[in-house]
Amino acid sequence: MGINVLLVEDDPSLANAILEGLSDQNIKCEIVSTVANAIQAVRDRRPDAVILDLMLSGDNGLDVLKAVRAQRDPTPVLILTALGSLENRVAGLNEGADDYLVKPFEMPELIARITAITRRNNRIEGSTLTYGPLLLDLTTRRVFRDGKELKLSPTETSLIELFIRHENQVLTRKMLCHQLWETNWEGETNVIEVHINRLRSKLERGFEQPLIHTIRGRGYMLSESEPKSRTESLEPLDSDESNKPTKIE
Amino acid sequence: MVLGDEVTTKETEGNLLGQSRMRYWGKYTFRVRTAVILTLFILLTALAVGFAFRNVVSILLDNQTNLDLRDDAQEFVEQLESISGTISPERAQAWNRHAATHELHHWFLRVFDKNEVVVWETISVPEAMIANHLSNTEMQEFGNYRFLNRPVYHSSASNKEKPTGWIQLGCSLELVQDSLSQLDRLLLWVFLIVGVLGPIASLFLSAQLLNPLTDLTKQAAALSVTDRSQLLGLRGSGDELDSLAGTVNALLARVRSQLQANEDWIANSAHQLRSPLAAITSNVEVVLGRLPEGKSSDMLASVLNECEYLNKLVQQLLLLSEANAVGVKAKRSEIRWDEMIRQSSDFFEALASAKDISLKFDAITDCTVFANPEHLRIVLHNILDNAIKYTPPNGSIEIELTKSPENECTLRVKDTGIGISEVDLARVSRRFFRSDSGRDPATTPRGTGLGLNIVKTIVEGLDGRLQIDSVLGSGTTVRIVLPAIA
Repeated sequence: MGINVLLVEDDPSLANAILEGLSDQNIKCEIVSTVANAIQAVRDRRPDAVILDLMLSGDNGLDVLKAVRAQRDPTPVLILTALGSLENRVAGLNEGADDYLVKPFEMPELIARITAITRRNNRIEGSTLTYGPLLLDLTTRRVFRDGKELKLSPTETSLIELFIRHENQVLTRKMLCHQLWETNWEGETNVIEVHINRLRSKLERGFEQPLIHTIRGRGYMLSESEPKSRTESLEPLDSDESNKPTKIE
Repeated sequence: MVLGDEVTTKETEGNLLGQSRMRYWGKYTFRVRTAVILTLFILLTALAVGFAFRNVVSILLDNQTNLDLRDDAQEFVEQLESISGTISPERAQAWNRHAATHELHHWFLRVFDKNEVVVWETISVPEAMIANHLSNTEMQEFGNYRFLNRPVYHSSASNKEKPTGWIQLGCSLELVQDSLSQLDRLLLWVFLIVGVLGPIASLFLSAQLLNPLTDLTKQAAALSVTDRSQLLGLRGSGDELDSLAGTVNALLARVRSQLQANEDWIANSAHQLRSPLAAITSNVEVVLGRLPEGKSSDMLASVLNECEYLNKLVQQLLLLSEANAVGVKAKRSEIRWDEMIRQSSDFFEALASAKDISLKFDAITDCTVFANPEHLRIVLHNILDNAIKYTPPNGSIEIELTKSPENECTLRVKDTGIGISEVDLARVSRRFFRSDSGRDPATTPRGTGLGLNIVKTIVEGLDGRLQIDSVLGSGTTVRIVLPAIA
């Protein structure tokens, strides 16, 4: 995809996990751990996006955001925070952050959000969303496959919208829950499984090609082709030197 | 069908039900005790005052009588000392007139010679009046009469040792006794009236006295421990009740700061857990993504599952502390509760139909409440989630939203599920309570045991009520009552 991300994070274990997780998706990542280095790196490297941890030892991550926005730099910034309360979220968004993610997060969600904020700037929202044979009319909330209308409930329509917006990406149960509920509440019934199964049966009845795939242990993905198995991505990444982090001190 | 008490009563106030009954009785007897003491005091005072008054009157009357008799005796002794020979008819007539008009009732006078033989007496002398022991000059009583004797020494007599005659004069005590018994009757009436009015006045008075205390009790019973703005009102009189209210307020403040410290501790711990949890989850996810399917990846997947559970727990603990603090009342807006329920109906119908449970959204009335939408969704989701989870296949769940004339919105979710035993009912909304009966661990994700506690905290934070009625084996009815916006 050719995305370059600057990660501002002082926890080496988490930083490394994010770096590795992003490189598995061919997202290049550079790690800095202090506010000063971060401000300099944004200016010098011009990353496509910044992942910013708010709790840096001794420093407030928001200072990076303030400095970047003070220079009228529109680089998308995703805030990573352990403080999940409303005030904290609002404070970050008020300073000009593009998105926030509360720790602990799921890697697929981080990836989905990073791709979303890097795309956001050059994407024009039309009145329809399409993916392969699927078409969602955003104004009438009607869904078609190969021109044939599918009778979906509002919940299912909302789910398919999320899937189309994140085509070929893993959506976790938590992300789906959030889409349905606008809360992180998951409940104790198998809510997501039930809805995905219904959506899948409506989507795929009478058609050969499956569209929604279950990624075991991680979530679901909308894709025209069978998702790559895990082993395939293993080899090239570990040998690919260009994806190794370049650390700035 | 309906069993059990309001969860709030059983839950937070523990066995206060018994205590409150006791408190009521205590209040009652205290009032009665005060009234009884007051009544006794009034009656005893009336009795003492009456008794003293009667005695004073009696002593005064007695003294007056005695004084009059002594004065008269002195006067007649002097007259007789100057009379020689017999008593002239004029004098006798004058003395009889004196007797008849004397202010003392039945006043009489007798004159004796030196041999103690009656020489003259007024016609008013009572019959069988004794004449012996004339030498006794003390005040004496005979029958209803009081009398006294005095020796007479004639002015011409040479021997002043031996009296030349005697007089005896006295009067009837009838009038005095009549007056006293009249006074007794009057006092008895007064006492009876005091005896009847006393207890009534005492009850009224003790109620008046205890009114501020009753008010204080009512206020204290309505106090919410978590709402910092709620305090007992001081009347500004600086009396004992004000000092009691002040003490209770200080206690409340201490309890609240302790509670707040606990909640802060939970919130801080949860925050501290998030970063390492994020590191663990992310690392495991990356490794899991690179491993081929097999035993190792299965093991890592279960690590991830546990992380997810921990994450959920941390999330809910934070939500709980947010709801306990000012959070519930922050970020509120007017929400059409009925629309929120209608909008999510298809979401829950799908869940229910997967278990062959029929979900009926019956009477959903227009209802606007003032709440944080995220919190309200959590409440709704949790209650319906529980209903679906604990209702076996082919059961039914009825959802009803009504608005009462008292301007309260009630969401009623009635299921035909497995129900809750009476013992568990008292505990369902406690933190970390989990009843594992009726849940299939294979198909249902592990719960944190915080759900209902969060619901309760949110609902009560919005000045609402959570009420759960249940019969083991036949179903549960959950009611959430929130104040409506007119």
